[in-house]
Amino acid sequence: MTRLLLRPLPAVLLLSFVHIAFAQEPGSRAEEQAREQEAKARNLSTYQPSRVEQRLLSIENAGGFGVARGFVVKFGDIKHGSGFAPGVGYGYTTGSGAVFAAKGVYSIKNYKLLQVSAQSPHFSADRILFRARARWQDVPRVPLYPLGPDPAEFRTDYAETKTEVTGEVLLKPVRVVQLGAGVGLEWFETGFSHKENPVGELLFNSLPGSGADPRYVHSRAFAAFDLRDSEGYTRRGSLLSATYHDYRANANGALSFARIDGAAEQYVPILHGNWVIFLGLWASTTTAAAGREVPFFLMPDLGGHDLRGFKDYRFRDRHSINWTAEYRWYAQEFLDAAIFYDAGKTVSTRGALDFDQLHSSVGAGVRLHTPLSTLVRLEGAHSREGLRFLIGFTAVGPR
Amino acid sequence: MMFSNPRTRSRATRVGALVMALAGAYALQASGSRSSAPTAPKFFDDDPLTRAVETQDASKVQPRPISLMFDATINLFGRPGLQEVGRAEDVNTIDEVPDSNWFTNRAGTRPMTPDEMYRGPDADAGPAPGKWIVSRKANGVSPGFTITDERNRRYFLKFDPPGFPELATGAEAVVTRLFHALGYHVPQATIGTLRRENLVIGEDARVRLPNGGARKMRMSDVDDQLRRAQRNPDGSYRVILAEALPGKSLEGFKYEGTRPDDPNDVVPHENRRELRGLRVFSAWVNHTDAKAINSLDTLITDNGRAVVRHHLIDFNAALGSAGIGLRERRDGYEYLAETGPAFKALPAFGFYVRPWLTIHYPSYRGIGRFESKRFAPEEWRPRVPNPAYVRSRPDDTFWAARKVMAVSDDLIRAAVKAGQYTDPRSEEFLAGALIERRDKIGRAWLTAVNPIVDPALSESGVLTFQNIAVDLNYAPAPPGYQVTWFQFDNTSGESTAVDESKISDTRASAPSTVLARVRPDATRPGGRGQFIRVDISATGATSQTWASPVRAYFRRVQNGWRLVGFDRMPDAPPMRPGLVGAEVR
Repeated sequence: MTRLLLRPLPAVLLLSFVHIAFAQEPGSRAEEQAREQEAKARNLSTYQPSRVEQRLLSIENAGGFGVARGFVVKFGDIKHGSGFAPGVGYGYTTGSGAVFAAKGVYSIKNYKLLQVSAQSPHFSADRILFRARARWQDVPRVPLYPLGPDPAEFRTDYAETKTEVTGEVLLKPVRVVQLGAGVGLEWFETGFSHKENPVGELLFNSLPGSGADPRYVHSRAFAAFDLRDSEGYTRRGSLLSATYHDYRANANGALSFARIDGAAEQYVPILHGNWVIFLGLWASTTTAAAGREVPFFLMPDLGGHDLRGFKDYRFRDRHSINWTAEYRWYAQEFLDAAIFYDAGKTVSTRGALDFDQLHSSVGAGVRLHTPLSTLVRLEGAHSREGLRFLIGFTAVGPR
Repeated sequence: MMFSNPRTRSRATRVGALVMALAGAYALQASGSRSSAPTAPKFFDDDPLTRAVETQDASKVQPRPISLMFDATINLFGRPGLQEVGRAEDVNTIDEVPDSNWFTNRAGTRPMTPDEMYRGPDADAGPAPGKWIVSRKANGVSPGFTITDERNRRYFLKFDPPGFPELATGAEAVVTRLFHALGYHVPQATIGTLRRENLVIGEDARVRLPNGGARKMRMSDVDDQLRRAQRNPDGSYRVILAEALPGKSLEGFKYEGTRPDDPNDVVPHENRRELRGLRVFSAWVNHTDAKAINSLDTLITDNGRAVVRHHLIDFNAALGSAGIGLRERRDGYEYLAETGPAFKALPAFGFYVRPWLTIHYPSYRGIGRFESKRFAPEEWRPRVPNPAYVRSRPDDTFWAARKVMAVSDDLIRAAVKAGQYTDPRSEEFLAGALIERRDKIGRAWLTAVNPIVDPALSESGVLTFQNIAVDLNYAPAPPGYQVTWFQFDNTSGESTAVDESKISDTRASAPSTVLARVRPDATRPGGRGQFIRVDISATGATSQTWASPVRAYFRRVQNGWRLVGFDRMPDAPPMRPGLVGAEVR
């Protein structure tokens, strides 16, 4: 019986094989395409975006990087001279557009920042905005040099802790005009932090406001006429701005004073921005009633981010003036190169606030930027005190 | 035991081997891979296909959101897709793109009238007059709405940016028509007028909130959008109206790979000729924004089967427009992040001046930054490298350039007229610029490869062909042509050289030996018939590329010979994705 069954089997299988083998060949182009599609139909899958793509997609769906939502990496926004300062932030945006945020930043120089903030929705077609924040900033070693227009290159350090609660309103009646006013409570604690340097301690103790730990009601008002494309990065436009600060100290008010900061900036694009000439002039002045003093840690200072060939806080006094001329050229859509000249000084009297005997530095660098913000500035600057390399995360000038 | 008998065991072994062979054959068949290709004939009876087949039900295809940032980043800094560039895979055997849900041959394949061009893809005249019900506002940087008219038809509305009347709407209307004529599936683009008082907020209209939630739309939301739009002196707004495409939206398609859930999508997109050739069309109209999110796949029913149709959308950032204002001067000349020019510019202290910075643009209303004098087609590039463009070979750009050349002056003027520019000088300038850019495209890409077209073999064996570059006066006629005749075996794919001749004209007679020696082969599907292969190259031409032959195949048919195969670059060297197009490895 088995033999009977097996006898025709090879022939049947052989015929089947021949049939299948020849069935491999499609009979037409349409059939050939159909077979490819049939084959794919057996192996369909759902598109699986990578984690990076998923994350970017969720950011885009939430309205972009500008919309605070969830945890994000933060950099900077701490007292200047901090060095690289990464941190973590958390943001929440309400349905009305109000934003609540918190962040913590820690720098390689041990600068620390904790902040919670709130921002109202934009009212009246983006013309009115309210902001408030509570902030704690601890800086264990702020560079400290003698006051005056040409202080000796003698450095010591002091520690500064600032705690503040502030609120402000920003008005934009027309696109190019900004007005604002704010008030806040600010607590300062300072102390000498360079214990191995007794001469430095003498310097610290000789400065106005040292060890006073004042508490201020700080009111401010500002106005700006701004024709720039953006505050964070621009290739054209002008800025004229002035900010008035009123610092009312507690106790007997011995450290109460006022301060005015002014800025004039002009960006001149040449050949559609292939070259940009940037000219910036900044000045700060303080006034204190008779018998009152301006504490050293709230005096205008220069060095580092503005007078780039000099160290951070290299110059400090009651008044300051500085200017920058920059020749910038287009390297690529997100990359500029620049050479620059900075000059400035700090002085003890307003009458000395002129362009004589300014300290100067020259330098060059590159900037990586988006259309609206500066991502990073890498610069080298040279002054009579040597060569410095800087990394910045904001546009040039006092910010 | 059955297998104790040696004879039985032997038989069983043979049976086992056969079963295994049978299973192997089944497996081979089931794999459906192209491994069967070598045994298939080169030409089938239905070659060349004029319409690609889509045999599978695609109803399970799901929308696939595309991240703009991810797509831009991987294309700016990488080269996604296949790294070896070969011939486009969706062309038929005569090197043409068959009709499909990607592409429909129009200009250059059949006659088109200016009226047809002016009408474009517009199925109707736009929404009916009366109240328009706003159902949704547009996402993204450009303002816009979705509205429903009193006939319950849904339309998308887009505006001109403030300060630039007719710029974006004009570009959208003109380029939509040109791309429709070239063969793409595009949505309607009718220019109309919107009056705020005609808008009514729909009952179900919602707006997305910053926290991801939603609330009912208010008129202030409409006003927010209108504030970002160019307003006419009478308070109305000029808009582009596009009726919603039929079918379910599946979001865009990527320019590399395939949709893994679409069974009919088997050709990697970077190897589709109509996407490679889009480089040429985009260069023509300065469409620098052909990216994944500016495409749209829809699930439609075609001949009773659910299939995916692929559209190009959003042409308001073409010509001289960036959609939200004037286009950047860099657009069309340099990628958003291109290292070559940056390395030149960085150490040059600004004295490396890009040529595009010195271009003067005329200031006609609605035109923006568009011109033709400094346009260099081969150098043109979009904002972000496109995976299909960087793989475009000379045969792809030739195909596309020929399509562009098929759009006559009259057709261009008809398309421009649809832009409804109020200043006649704008219309005249734009038409003139498009004509000049078209001619530059022809001169650049029709001469870059052997430009022989339309080979035909008469019943009596007379071969004729055209040299399109010479016919259009883009190049001098070469002193002669070399024609090599082959006997072609469709089953084995082998060619046997039979005769070779040099001619001074575009006409040659087939040697009698060739006609006598062709043999039918009826042993395989598609093998039936007689085939002749002819290689044609130019001799003594100034362009070296013309010395590389094109290859044509003819099949004997009842009343003569039919062109069934054509390859413009049969001896193409291995290529790779390049900076703007494919480069030789």
